[in-house]
Amino acid sequence: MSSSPFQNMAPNARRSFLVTFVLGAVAACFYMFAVQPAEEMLTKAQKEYEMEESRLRVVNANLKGAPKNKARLEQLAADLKPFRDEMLEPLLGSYAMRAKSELEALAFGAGLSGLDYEELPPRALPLPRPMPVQLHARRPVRITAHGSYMGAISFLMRVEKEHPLVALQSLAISTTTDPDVQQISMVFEWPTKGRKSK
Amino acid sequence: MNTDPFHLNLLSEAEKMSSSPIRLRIMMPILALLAVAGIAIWWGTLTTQLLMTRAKCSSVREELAAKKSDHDAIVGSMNLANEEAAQLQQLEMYRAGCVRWGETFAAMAESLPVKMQLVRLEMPEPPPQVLHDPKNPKKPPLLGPTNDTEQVSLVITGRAARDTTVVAFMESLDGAAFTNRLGRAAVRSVQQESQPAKRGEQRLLAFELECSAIGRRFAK
Repeated sequence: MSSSPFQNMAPNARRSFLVTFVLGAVAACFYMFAVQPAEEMLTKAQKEYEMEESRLRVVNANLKGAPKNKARLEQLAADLKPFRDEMLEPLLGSYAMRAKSELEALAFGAGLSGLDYEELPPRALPLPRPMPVQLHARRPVRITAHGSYMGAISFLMRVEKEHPLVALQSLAISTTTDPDVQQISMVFEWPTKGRKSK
Repeated sequence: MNTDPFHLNLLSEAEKMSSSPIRLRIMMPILALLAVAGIAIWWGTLTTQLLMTRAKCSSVREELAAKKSDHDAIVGSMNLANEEAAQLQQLEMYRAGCVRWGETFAAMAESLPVKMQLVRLEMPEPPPQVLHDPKNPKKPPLLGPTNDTEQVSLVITGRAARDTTVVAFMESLDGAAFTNRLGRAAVRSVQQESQPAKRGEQRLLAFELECSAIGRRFAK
């Protein structure tokens, strides 16, 4: 009659084998269902902690840099002021009207007459890196008038003195039948708000 | 009475060769028990570490939440500063492209020879900006030009009594007053007028000169 080695074992050895087997099974289950998930959870928690810790470091650095940033903003506001003061905003919906209000007195002072103002399409400025959300552009306004050559140059010099950020884009001075009166056409450019990049 | 010594051998054949004085059937459960205990200690250590890490993480989160409003304000002002810096950079590009012409034209009037009359002085408008990709017209237009320089030139049309007067005027345009403003003047055309302006006067030379001028460079 054949029998398994387990049945041939002495009762003590059989008990020992069973206890070992049960404890081994418990250890394996414990490892699989407790230790491994705990390890995974710990790894995940440590990653989260490192992330939060690095966020906190950034937050603390930013908070520490607040006075420096405030000083930077003040400096930027001071640097931008001349541009903002000179920025051409439409008057009654027209840039030509605004240009007229700014330059009419200078033109009359230089002896020009028959002034006419015409708004031209804006011209884009090259893009800086990084690109701002609010872009700026060049707004040309054509001014036509009658007057002498020296009157036209005097007007140009007055504009350049009073409005340092207004630039001459183009110019045409041509003679008429009256030798003392020239036909003058000047295109001046102002900085102006342009499109939004986003 | 002489008797043989009694010898009781309780070791099995396998146990005779073993170096351990403790039998395998005792050692095996003990080792298994130690393994279970070791794993339990491992698990306990991991759980403790997990709890500690979670506690630290939640304390960092609380600190972040406490600083959130201040930090949001700072981030807002940093974004504003970056935006303003970028706007300033673009406006500085505009300023770099501003060229003052008043002094140059005033000097030109002074350097004009006596027997010369300017008929037309022109600084032509720049060509229109091309913001569309010519190869792909359906593509939305660019926000800004890729070229940061605009060429500027002067076209001077006039009348003079002699060609030497025109040459003298061209030479005067190379003078110090026009340095860094105008390039060398080139003659576009010279021709004798068909009729004198007034009866009895000599026929004048009609000329057209072109000068390259300092370009406008919109770059900081």
